Amino acid sequence: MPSPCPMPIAALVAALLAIGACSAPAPATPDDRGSLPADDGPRLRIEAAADALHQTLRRRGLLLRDPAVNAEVGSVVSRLTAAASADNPPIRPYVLKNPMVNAMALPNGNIYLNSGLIATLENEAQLAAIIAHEINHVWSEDSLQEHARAKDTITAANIADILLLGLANVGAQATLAGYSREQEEAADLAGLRLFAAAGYEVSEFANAYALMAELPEYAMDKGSIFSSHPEQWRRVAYLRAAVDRDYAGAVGQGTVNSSAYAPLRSQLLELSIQLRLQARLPAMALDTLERGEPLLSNPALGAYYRGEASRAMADHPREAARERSLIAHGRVSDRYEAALSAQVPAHYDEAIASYRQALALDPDLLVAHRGLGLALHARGRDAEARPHLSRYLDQPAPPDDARYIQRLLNNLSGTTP
Amino acid sequence: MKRRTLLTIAATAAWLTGCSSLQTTTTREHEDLESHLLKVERVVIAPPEVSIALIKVSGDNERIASLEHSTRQGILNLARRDLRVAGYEVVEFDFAKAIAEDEDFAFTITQVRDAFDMARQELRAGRELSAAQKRAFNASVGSAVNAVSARTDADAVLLLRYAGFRKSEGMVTRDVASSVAFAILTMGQGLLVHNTSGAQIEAALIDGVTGDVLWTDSRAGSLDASIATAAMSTLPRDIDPQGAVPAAVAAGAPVPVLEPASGELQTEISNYREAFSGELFEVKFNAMQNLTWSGISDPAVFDPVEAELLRDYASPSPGRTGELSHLAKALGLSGNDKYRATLETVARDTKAYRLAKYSREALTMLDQHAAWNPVILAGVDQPGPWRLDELRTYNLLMAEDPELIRVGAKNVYARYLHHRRLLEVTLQSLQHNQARDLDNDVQVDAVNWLMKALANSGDMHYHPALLQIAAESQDRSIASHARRYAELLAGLAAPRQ
Repeated sequence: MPSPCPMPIAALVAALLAIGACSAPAPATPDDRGSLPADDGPRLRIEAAADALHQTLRRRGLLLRDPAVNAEVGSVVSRLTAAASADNPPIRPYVLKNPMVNAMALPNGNIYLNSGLIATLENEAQLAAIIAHEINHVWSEDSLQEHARAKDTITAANIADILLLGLANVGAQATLAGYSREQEEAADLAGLRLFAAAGYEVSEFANAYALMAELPEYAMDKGSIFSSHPEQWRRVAYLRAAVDRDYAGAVGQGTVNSSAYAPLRSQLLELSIQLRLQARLPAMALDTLERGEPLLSNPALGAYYRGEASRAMADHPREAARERSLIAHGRVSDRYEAALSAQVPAHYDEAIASYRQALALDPDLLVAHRGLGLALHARGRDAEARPHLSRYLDQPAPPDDARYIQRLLNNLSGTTP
Repeated sequence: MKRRTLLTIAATAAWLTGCSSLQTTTTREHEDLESHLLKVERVVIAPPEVSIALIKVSGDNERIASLEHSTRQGILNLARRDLRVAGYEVVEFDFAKAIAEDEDFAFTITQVRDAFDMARQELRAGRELSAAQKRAFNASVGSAVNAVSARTDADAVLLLRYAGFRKSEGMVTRDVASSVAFAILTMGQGLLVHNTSGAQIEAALIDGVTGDVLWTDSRAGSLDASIATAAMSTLPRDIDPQGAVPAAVAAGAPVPVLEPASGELQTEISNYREAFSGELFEVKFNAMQNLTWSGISDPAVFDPVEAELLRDYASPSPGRTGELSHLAKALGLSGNDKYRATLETVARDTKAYRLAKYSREALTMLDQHAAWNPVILAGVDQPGPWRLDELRTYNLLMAEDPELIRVGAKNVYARYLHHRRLLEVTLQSLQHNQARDLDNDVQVDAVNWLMKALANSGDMHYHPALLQIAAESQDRSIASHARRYAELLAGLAAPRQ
């Protein structure tokens, strides 16, 4: 099944680690936890690889540089690490522009949270639960141990991937970007201790994972820590058992912070919808929208994004069919494509109706004018399309796609510009 | 294990390791290419994505940063030249600075690349295509590319991606062992061929306004710039809006003059020397295959070969005899009289019959290549319109010796079916050679290969020449082949049903 991720960041991670990773003098075993070789060479090299990965993410513009978002995430990290030993490496959190639900930790102390993950979680406590888990991967040096164990398996996968112009490094990703079940469980339990010590509501730790377990698999990266459903429910069960055993008296006492989290979630929800639409995954964009529409800052945006999704299905029926197949865990089927191709006019009409609804709610929503103009043009209604496209261009700063819209306006049939 | 199972394994291995003999194209073009190209004059090259890995047995793979850097520069220079040769104006834009200053812009470029990855699924889906079917696509990366074209003031964006690998010596040794094991397992029915290095490149020209993929090509092959050369050779020429003909031609502009190809040649020589100086015969064997029509006579390449031959020729083991026989033949490719005495000594004094035989053959080759090599590399020190491999093909096509002309035609057939300038040279060579007195089979075969290359280009521009030869040639074989190739060309050029 192809990855639905428009930016295969986890695959990139795996490829870079696989290529740039390093040797350990002797393979570590699970029993080696906490007793790594004294030789710092492997550690330094794997940290260097992690640094290189970070630079690649930066160069590709995949790091979200929104001050409010980063401040919110940073404050959660500060709260969790406030009582940490000075021997532990500092944690640097980053948010990635990626609609898939995933998070990852690198041995250099960098933690990456996908925008899609933050948009899915319901409150600050749940975000803290995920971050606490990732922090413990860093502090327990899981990357180094897992790499030492897995390094013999990556060679063949790498050559195959490279020959396939390969960043779809699923095999290597499973071993290098992921961790063993033992490491995951240890990070969970240590994370829970950190989380409870920071004063968060202990029941939310397992709730965060229960939320992930209820998501469809296509919402997650392959190799995501949340992608195995049976494993997720097992995890939820042992976390709830741990809370009952160790923190029964603390239930209902800690911080949840849903209201303060809502603006952050709203912002990243919208980003996730946009990224899915750009990736031509309209059904997944609609799914994301349906899970969080009440959170959108402008009610007209819901109708606008529905219009965008309908128009994307009409513009790219083959890709929409591929997405349907993906959701259904199936092969790309001619049946889907034929069905979606037959629905192209209907999808354009749905889009037109949605855009009109958006403009009824907010006449100044310029992107809705753009969408409406494009959909009308696609239906051959150029005279109706023209004023909407012109309206879209009529803004103080020209939009990024001004050239495209202007050329389209110049070529519209029926009337002269 | 049953014999049927073994044969299945062998067939699968052959399929995996071999390549198709079908005349298909790796090029894809927009269905409405001409009207798009009317609006394209200025092209900006997005920063090439290059990754090259050293693959180790231990799994401790490394990126070969120096090779990545030189490859990035190399393909950038090639792309720049090829765009200019095709009549486009290349926009010089400092992407590194722009990306460092504006991560949103960096993200836009990432989005364009990701969108191309999605468009690629449509471009590369389904059956293989013949050359005549390449212009049937309507894929787009969407309007995200607008932000790039607007910022760089370009009409189109060229995307380049290169991924390669080189195996460590330990890895190569393991491959050799697995080949032997596989041969034993399949009782000689199967042969696993492991490349010691390899690469793949993908290039795409994207309309900066509409986001339409105008042209794309993807090639796989050796870990050097040759695949970039091959991929870029199918880049469509710019079209002048005034006359709908190639802009450079319409303006009467000469084809841009490139730096002498001797720079590329020195890189090749250095690579060959490294290959022949190593320990692994498989590496040397691969080098020998590529060396055959290279025109190289430089002792830097052949001295290590001579040294190895002299070291072991006296009484080699049976296994070593085969390797030394190939080395003797490699020495013959040099065309350099410096090695005559060595080959004579080996032919005379070795106790291995097969080595003696191949050394005698190498002496004949030495004489042939003494004549051929200077022809193949003629003009390599002069500025001109050709890159190194193109220059060789040009020289082969324009040679007097039909053996060389035939090789040149095969080169065009294998690598340059869409290289308009080399196709024109092929036509010129055909018209010249078919009119000569054809008194041997090699001459006839060379003419037939020239026609085959033109026919497989799928370009009807060459149809009249084939029809004329079919009607007028006094040679029955040539007339018959011309008819056949004219029909083939018409079939290839016919619109797809």
